[in-house]
Amino acid sequence: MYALLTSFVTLMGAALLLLATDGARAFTSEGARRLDIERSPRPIPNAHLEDSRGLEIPSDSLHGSPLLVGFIYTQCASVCPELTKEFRSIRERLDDIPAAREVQLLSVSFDPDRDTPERLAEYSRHFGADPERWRFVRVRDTDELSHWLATFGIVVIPDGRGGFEHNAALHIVDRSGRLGSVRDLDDIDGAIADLLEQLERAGPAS
Amino acid sequence: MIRRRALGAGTYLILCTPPTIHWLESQLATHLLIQMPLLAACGWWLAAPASRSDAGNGSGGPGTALALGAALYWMLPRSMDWALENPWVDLLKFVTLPLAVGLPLALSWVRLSLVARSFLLSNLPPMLAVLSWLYWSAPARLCNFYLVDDQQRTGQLLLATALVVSAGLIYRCLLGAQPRAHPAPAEAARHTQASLPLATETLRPPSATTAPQLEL
Repeated sequence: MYALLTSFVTLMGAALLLLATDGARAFTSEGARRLDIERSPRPIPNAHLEDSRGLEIPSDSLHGSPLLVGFIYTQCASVCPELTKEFRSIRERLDDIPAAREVQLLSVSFDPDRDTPERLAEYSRHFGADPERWRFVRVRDTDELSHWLATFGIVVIPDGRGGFEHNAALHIVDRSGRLGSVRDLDDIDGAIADLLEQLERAGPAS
Repeated sequence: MIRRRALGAGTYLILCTPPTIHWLESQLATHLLIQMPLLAACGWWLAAPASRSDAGNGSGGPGTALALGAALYWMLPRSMDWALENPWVDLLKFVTLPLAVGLPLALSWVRLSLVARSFLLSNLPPMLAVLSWLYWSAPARLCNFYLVDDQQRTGQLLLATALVVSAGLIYRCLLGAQPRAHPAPAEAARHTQASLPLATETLRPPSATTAPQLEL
């Protein structure tokens, strides 16, 4: 009788743990975020972006082409330069594929106070970005910024030394403006495959 | 017993005050290594007076399984993040750690066989060491709400905890008091004196016949 009860409790516990980790696939919130995005792509809310030339770009004007998005702040000494270098490699590889030239890259700063257009332009030049196909932008409106961060699942916390810690990844947004997959920072091949897959799909009309 | 209950209730009340919650949850190390174990301990202390009743727990299996399952759940980085993000989930943590971990474990511990207790205790240091390695070596944040530095410090503290627990167990096994009972007499005592499982402790004083064997 007690053996039966023990087995029952153990099975229930195992079931709960499987449920809580999406079948042992996501033990962290970061893993859970990626699974959730893959299962149900999220429409990106509209926001007013300001690029390194000081131009205001409504985010929905970027729809129509697949989009690669990354979140950075230019004072970052660790993960952001790494992410930006990955972006540069991806841009170079996409430029070698004629059909993939229409893919847009977007590096979004979540530190709008310090990352002015001038600062973003300097950062962009440092990484040799062509502003027509790889934009560095900031979101000035705090509500819009937090809405964007929440939709992408980016958690930014001050590190107590004037900088931030944040989760960094490669975010692939489809032609209709839905975030559909998230790749690890160093998974360039995976991100390119996802972008090419989006390119093969028909435009936003379908 | 009443003092233990008061200790449990008092600790729980202190843990529930907003400044304490804020302080302990502001860092991963204090959240994982102080707040959560103390919450479970509150349940353990509160349970003490009731531990002699059977409560459908047989030889302690169901209660131990429940406690292990709930403890594992709250050790998932994702559960900790969720508790920080959502106050209702934090409330659930404050309810389940005492009631589903500490309390059932206390009710079960006195009924568990010596083999089961030894198994659980000896698994504790390796489990802590594995957790330590995980937190110490992970290049990215496991919990989105905590810094990597904090995560690495938590890993170091987990290793220190594993070493202290190991040292305690080694001391207990090699140098400490004699074990409470051989498994067989313990089982016998439990069956004949089911209403007084704690009596096995008093039934087996250190005896001259077992001591030399253990020293070999």
